Amino acid sequence: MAKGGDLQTWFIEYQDLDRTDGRVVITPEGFEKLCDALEFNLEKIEPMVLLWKLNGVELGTVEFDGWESGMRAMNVKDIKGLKAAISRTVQDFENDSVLFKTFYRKVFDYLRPEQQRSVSAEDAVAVLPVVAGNSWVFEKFVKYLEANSDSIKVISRDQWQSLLELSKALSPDLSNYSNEDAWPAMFDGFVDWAKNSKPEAAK
Amino acid sequence: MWASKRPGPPAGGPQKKLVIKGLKALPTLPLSYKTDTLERLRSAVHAIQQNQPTTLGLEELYRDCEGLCLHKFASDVYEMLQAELEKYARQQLLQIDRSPDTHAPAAMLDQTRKFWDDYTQQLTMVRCVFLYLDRTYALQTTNVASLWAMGLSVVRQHLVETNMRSRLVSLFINEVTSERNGQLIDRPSLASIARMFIDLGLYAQSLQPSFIDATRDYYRSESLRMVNCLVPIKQSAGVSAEARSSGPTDVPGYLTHVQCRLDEETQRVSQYLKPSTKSTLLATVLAELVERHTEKLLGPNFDAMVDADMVSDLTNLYSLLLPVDKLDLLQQNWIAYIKKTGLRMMQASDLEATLVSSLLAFKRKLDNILSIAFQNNTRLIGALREAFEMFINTRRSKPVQLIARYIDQCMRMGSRLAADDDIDDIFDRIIMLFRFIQGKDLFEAYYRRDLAKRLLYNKTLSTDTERLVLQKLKAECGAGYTNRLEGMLHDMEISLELYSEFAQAQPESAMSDIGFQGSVLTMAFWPTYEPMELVLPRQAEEAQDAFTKLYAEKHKGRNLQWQHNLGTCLIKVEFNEGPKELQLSQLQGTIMLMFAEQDELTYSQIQQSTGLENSELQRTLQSLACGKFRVLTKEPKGRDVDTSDTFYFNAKFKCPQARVKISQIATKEIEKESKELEAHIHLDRMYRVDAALVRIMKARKTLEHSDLITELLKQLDFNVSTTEIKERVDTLFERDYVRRDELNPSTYHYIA
Repeated sequence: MAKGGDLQTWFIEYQDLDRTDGRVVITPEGFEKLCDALEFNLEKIEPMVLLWKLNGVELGTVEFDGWESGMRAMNVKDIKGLKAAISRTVQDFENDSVLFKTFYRKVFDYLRPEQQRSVSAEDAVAVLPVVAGNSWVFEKFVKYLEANSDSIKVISRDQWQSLLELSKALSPDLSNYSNEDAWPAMFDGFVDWAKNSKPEAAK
Repeated sequence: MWASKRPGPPAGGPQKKLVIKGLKALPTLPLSYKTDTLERLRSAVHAIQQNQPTTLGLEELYRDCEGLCLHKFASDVYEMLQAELEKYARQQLLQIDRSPDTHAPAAMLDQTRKFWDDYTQQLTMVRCVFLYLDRTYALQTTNVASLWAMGLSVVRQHLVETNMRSRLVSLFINEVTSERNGQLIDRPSLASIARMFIDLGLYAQSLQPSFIDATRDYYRSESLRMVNCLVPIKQSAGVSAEARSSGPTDVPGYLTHVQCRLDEETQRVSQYLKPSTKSTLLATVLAELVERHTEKLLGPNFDAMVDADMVSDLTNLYSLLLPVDKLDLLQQNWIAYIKKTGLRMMQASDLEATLVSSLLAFKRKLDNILSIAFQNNTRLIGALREAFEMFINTRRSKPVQLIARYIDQCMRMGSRLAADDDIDDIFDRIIMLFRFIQGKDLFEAYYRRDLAKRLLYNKTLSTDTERLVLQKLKAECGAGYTNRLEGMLHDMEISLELYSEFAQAQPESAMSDIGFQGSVLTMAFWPTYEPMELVLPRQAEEAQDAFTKLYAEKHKGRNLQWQHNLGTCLIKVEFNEGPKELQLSQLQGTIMLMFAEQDELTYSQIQQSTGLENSELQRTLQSLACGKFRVLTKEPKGRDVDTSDTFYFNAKFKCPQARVKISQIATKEIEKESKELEAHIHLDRMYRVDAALVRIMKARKTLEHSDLITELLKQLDFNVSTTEIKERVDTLFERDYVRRDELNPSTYHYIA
């Protein structure tokens, strides 16, 4: 059996066949079905990693070319293999920060509406906990966005990316942050807010 | 006559022969020659020393000496002389020394002086007599001093070997101390002693050092005593010299005292000391009286002196601190005082009304002190600038606003300037203040707004003065700064010309009802005005149209947009009391004219007729019906205008003046205006920050965050916070002008 053939057949299982525009693509419905088959919890990180590994074009959307090259790169032929590959990648995130950074940055593009340059704060609040695991900085930042939802409407790419750096650099007592540093301006407000709300926060 | 006489045998008589025979034996000196001659000389010396005439004539004695020298007895003569001088000096000095110290100590000095005078006189005489010895033996033999030197060394030796020298020195110093304490002493006597010491070569060795030490001790204790009981400054003008050392004094008094002492010591040197002592002496006095206690002389005392404009005392202070190199300390106090006083001014509760005049007065006072007391010391001038810049900018945009307003007040009719004020000088001073403020762009915006009002409502006192100020601003900030302002003045000039053209061009009939004057403003120069819809009374509209037509013919391609909220009008209204001229804004006028036909109108009728929107209409009606001059009345009564109100022409309106100006703007409006202005400038500044950031990154390609900030602040002339800068940098990320470095996120790269 030709590998290409397998992958194609597999793809068709989830492909959106009702389209009239001729695009060969898996849409969110199909993607969800795939995640089900993989027994991936939609609230967790795995679906996002899957999307990334399959070179998705937007949330829940995978084109065949991306599917094919992604599967080949992972050296995967079936559901079991795919599941294992994704799980392995998630584990790799623990040790390989560069890998995680690449993934994390891509997530921004998935959240971003096509014509816009930024991600809505709402979306960020929804996705960041999923993607960032148990980093206390991300947790706190999400709370900050929620507390200021009427003034902070969008997250820029620079803010998104810098947030990862911040999570690595910021000390738990917030003492090593300076407004004079090169952090995005929004973080100044964030750290101030965090300092004032410290007694209630955990850790 | 002579030549003819030739030596020859004498006439007549046989020749006599003269035979010369040699001596048979060498002539010898008489055996006692030396001893006798020496003895003669010796008694001559004694006679001189006793001030008595010598038995032999001086000429003879001279020959005696010469004779002995020629016969090689010079050394004996010399020794004899030396022995005699020594004996004499010792004898005399011992006698003086014996007199006790306790009573009349000055007596010893006096006696010494007398001895010295006599001795030197005698020595001179001796030298004359023994001149030949001096000129030959003494001069030509090494290790043999001249008679004069020998005579001196004899005395010196004695003084040094006994304790007479120290006695003399301490007596000398005691006298000086007494004089310092105010007593009269015998100055010539001290002068002689000093000269004696100088001649003996003992001045630099013994007298001067002890004198300086005593001076130091004296002034140290005096200064401690005086400084420890310094009292706060009394405002009395002029402290008399008698005040010194008696009773507590304040710092100015102390400073005057120090000057007195310095003068005194200078005089002392010229009277009875060697001139070379002067510099050390004065330095010692200053060190003790001033240098040691500089802190006590500055501090709050300094502040009080500056506060009270005590210029002569400050002059003293400066001239005393200069030689002891304490100007650094003075500068610190100077800066601290200016900052402190300045900051207090900036926090004053009646800031709005008084700040600029207080600052002008303050600067004038400080300049005065600088030029008179501090001799225009460059560092102190620089310090003043530094201090002013620091405190004046602590209230963000307030100084800008207030200085602009101050100038506005100067320019208007009923100006705060008096007729004979030196206008040039006043504005120079204001510009000096202007120089210190940050945010000159905001100033220009305020100035433009105020200038517009002056020009449009014809409030300018003098166009020449306007130009004068613009000149000064241009000199200060460059040509570009005053571009728009000059443009505005120019517009008004052109408009005047245009008006005469227009007036001439109108047929008689059209202009019979109303007079009309239009001004054309170049939009780029003037502040931005919101365009406003207004339905004009018919005549006004006709005139307006005629003007527009004329202008269009003259300048094809230019568009005129009428600004109804800027226009003013003069309306003659018949009240019960009589006719009055109302000076109104165009809006007010339009509304008033409606009441020419009708006595009663509702809010909605007025609105429909004029086409004004609510906020404008309410404001205008309020000024006509609810303010000081109520030419309309309102039902229901009250301060605020509602859309349901009705308005009546107030025929009963009374007022003493024939012409009444009803102002449109309420204070709230002015504040709102200011806030808008500042917001506008703020926005403008952010754009300039963006432009500067892009410019810098484009030039440097890669830059560390902190370096970028430094570069940026150098290029801007206004303050901007790091947060604001970071926000602008954020927008640069958004617009893909820059990106962060992968490894070092605080480094930026320019994206070409």
